[in-house]
Amino acid sequence: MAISKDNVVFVYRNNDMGSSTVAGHYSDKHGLSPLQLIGIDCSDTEILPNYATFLSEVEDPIKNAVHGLPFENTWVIILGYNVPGGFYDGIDIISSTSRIARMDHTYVKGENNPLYDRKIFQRFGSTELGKAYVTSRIDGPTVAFAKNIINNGYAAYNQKYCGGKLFLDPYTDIYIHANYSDPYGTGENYRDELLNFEEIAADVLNINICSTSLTDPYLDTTISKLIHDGFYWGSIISDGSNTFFEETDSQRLFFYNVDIDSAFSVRTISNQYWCYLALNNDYAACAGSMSEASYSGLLRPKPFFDSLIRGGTVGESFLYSCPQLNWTIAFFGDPLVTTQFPFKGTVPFVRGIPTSDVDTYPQSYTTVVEYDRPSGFPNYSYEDDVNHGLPGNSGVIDEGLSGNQWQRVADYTGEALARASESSTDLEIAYNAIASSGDVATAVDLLYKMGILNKRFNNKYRSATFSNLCRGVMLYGTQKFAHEYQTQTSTRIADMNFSLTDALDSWNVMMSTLIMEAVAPSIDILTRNEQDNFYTARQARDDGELDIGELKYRQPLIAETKTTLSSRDFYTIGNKYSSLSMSPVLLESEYSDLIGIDRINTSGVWDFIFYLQEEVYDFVDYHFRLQVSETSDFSSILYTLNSSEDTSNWYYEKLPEQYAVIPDDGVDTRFVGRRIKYRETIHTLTTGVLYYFRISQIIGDTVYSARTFSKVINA
Amino acid sequence: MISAGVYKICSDSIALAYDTNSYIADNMLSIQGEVEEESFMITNDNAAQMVYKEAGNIYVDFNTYGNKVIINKTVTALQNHVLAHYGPINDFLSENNIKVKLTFSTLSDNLGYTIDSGNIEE
Repeated sequence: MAISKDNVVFVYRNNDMGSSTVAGHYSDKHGLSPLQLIGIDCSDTEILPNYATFLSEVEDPIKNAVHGLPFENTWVIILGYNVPGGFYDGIDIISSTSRIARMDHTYVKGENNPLYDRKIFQRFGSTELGKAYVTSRIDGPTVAFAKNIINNGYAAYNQKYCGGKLFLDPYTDIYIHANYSDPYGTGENYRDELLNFEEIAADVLNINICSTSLTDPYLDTTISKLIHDGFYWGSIISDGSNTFFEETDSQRLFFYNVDIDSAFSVRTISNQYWCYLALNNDYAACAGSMSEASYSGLLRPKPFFDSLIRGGTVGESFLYSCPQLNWTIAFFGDPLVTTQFPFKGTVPFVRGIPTSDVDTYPQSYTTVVEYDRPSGFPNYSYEDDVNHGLPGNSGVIDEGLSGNQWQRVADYTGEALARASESSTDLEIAYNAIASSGDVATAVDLLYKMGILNKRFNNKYRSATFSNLCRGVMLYGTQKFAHEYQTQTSTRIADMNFSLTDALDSWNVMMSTLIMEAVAPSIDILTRNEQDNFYTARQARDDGELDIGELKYRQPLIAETKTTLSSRDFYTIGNKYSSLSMSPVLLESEYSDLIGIDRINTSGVWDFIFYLQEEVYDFVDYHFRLQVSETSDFSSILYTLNSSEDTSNWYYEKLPEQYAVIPDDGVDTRFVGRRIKYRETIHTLTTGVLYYFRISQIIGDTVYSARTFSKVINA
Repeated sequence: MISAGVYKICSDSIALAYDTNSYIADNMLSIQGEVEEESFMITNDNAAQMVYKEAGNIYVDFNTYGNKVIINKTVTALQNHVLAHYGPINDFLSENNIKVKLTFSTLSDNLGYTIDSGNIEE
């Protein structure tokens, strides 16, 4: 269930006619029930002197009231007219909206927001509630001013469509202003983030963007005024004025200016405070700092607009784009406002900043994989990330899902082969033990029966049983890729000439050696007749045609003249052999041509892939401990691999389907729902043996409960 | 008379064969489940259908009467050999300190040769 008016409570100041009037106005607009209006006994001071005062006057009364309500779906808290807007903590001013968002948690100034920029998007709901509330403030110098904020929000709420321009200002003062620097970044870094956002915003939002550009590094370039604006995201440090806001023919939706006092007061009629000015000029919502925020605390445009695009309200979008809570950034306006963009859909708006440190190595050796995303998350896909759930984006090739789907089919096949191989080995040992026991009674009673059982699993039988399936799996990969390519590019299949290697390269996946061996088994396990057929076929190949006349089939062989076989070639050859009831021998040249050697798994190496799950409701860094055992009770552990001790071979899904090495500090909360991968190349495991894998997430010194998986090594 | 070591090797390999049988059958069903979701499988005569059909064939091969009968006959032969040449199976196991796998004990029990819990691997 998405946020609606049923999730809102509006807080007003008791015994304050103006405050209750504004609350009533909001209630009338949205149809709130009386229970959704909460009166508290507080002063009308805009900034309280300290946290203790704020706690007693504002926080505790609101918390008690919310938790005392007869319903539990309060997600949004609006602080009304004359309710305190913040409090001092040293030289910092903490905004009420930022603190109340985390009122169910101990006050820690400037703590990281656990809902900030999550890499798997999810609309605000009961799961998010344990971490933070959506909060907002509707206040001003007069009752009429506050009511006008509500009116503008309600107009935007009903308009549901964005027609205004985005004014984006990466270059004004922040470029040279040192106040934003902290240990994690500088104003220049923030400028780069805005530029990065600008690169993709035009295509994703499909609205006009007016942006500043750098003409002279010693001169500010600035936006002189806003005309036909819907959004403003800039960094003007100097005072503003009402004349900055010229006429607009569309609803003004959200305004954010990066400075040190935009939100210091909205009750003071002053050109100094940009939030006041924005609200006074009909913006439905805005945000700003009550005091200096620094680089780490500044709002980020990418998660903000990403949330809006996906249907998030402006209130939850603000929350998702605010890196820190219990901090100085304040949010004003109606948090229920939503909007829609004229989505064009040609460029992925990937949740994460593309960088060069992502890795595109092959997806799988033997892969122990947790297929299901943690409960509570929507079904996530790369396609979702590209489409934002909106229609009209048909040109995107969904590489990750296709590869994963084929990989699962190939894995099931490889595992079956591996298990059969293991069983075959054991039965052969048992058979030989009986035969060599020297006891006649044992041999008489058991050798025949054990021999029959042994035959059911031996190499020859396995090859004959699985060869058609394995050939089908390989052909399936090629056809599947060709089909998708055709669908997405409107190219006729007849005009394509793909090989399985093309598909695996595109999907970045690998195939078990066991599948290849089943398709093209070693010549020495064939019967004499099958060997003869093989040599006949090879001779035909050498002669330029596949001459197997005694089997009523003649056709020129194409393998010699091509470096790769197309799906149709493969299909033809495969069917030919199949229809002739011939052993599924592929000629040696075809064997190597069908699939590049770098797409065949190396024996014994393995991957372990799992989803990062949430362990706590705070913003934390996770490390991981992976243990491997041959026994299900882990009484004997072969390997213990801990990312906090060595991040080598540990990767996280930084971008959808793309992995980067885990940072030394671990993987933070934002990546919950994304995948973590361990790739092993040194501690190889034995093919055909069932192993147990146990993964635990670690925060600091705390090791959380493990998840256990098992897998037969199939390479 | 079979030695304790050979008995253990045989019973373990039979158990593994049975488990493998089930494992392979399950995997084949999983393959069919994956391929079933392919929309283009319905309209084209293609490799998806080939995979689906072959997985079904292997499932039948590993999940039907034939393989199970072979396994059961091997278990019967092994246990009858002990009964004929040694005596009660549980005595043979305990006196030779043999612990069989749970799968083998279940197979044996189903055939009327009950194995005491003390002779089964934990």
